[in-house]
Amino acid sequence: MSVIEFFKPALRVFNNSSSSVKDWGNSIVGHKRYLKENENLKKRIEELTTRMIALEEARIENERLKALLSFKEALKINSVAAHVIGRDASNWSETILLDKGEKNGIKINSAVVSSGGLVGRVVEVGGTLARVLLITDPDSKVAGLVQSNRESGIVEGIGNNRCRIKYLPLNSDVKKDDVVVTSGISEIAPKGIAIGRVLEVTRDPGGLYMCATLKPHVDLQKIEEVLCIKR
Amino acid sequence: MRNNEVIFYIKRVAVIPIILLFAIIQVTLLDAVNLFGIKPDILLGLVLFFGFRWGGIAGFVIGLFSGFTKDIFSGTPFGIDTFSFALTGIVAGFLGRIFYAETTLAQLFLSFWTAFLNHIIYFVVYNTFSHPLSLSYAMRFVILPSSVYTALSSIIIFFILRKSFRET
Repeated sequence: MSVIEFFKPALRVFNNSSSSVKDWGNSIVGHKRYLKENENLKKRIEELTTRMIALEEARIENERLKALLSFKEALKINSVAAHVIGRDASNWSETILLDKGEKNGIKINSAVVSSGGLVGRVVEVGGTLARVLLITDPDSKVAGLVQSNRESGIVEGIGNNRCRIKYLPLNSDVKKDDVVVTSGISEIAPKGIAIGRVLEVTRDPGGLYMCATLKPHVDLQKIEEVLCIKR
Repeated sequence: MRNNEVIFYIKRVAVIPIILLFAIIQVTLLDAVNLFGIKPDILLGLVLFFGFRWGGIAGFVIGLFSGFTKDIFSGTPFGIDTFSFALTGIVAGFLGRIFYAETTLAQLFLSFWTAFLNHIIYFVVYNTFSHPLSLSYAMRFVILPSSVYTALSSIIIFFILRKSFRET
């Protein structure tokens, strides 16, 4: 035993080395396996990430649709839900294309709303497609009402994601952040649907009436689903 | 010679599906690069490319067809784009003969001014026959930003189309 003790340091060194050699050997043998495993795991991560994104997208869509549904129930009006499938090709006008048309009961001048409020009105309709003129388009005009003081006017689009309410009396006390809703006079949209919030109040250049610039209630650049009110 | 002629005609016919593809991209995918409500006009970029490269007559025909397609896909009064694009195609063909539009800077310069002219034509026709708009408003919110954005996007469009229509 004492002879062996003499060799103890050497045994220790060799033993340590042998484990290193064993590890090294294992790592060479296992390298291919690890590579394969790594590749598989990467693929799995990619798959799961794609699935996670799809699920997140479904969750967000679900939330939007829930909000739209509750808005539809609150409106108590017969309407058709539609997806936005395209936007105007030109920078001069602001329209959107919907995936529903005449076959689904959509008619020209049907009001289009979203969970936040008024979006616009249908100006062209095909069998399964409809074009909606947004409230921010310069050709759009709808009767509006300042919610706080009940003064009515005409809301027209001025482009650049803004609209303006015109023909308010000169002594109007309309102020910033006042909400403007549809008045129901124009027969396009039912009364009480939010159009926008006042950003700035100015006097008409001719000095005959007051007008107020509005920020639409609905983010028109981002809408994906809408409700078309059946006429 | 006969083979070259066939290729020549195939390339001209191939422009039609490209116009349709560009129109679909214009109303769908381009919304993702929308800046302050303005997106580049890739159909106009296409008209400019072929106008500069193939001359005024080709520019006019392609402009007419692209404008017509754009009119179908947009909510503006029908015919304004057909008219303005056809005129722009002729101007692009004319400019393409005077200037050498191969360097990026020259492309940017020519694309900007031709797009600017296209918007001015559009503005005049729109104001005359449709809805009166103030020039300062149109200049600030549509004409200038759209011309700049279209000119910038034309670099990519020209690159893609140059690769696709290399021999001509």
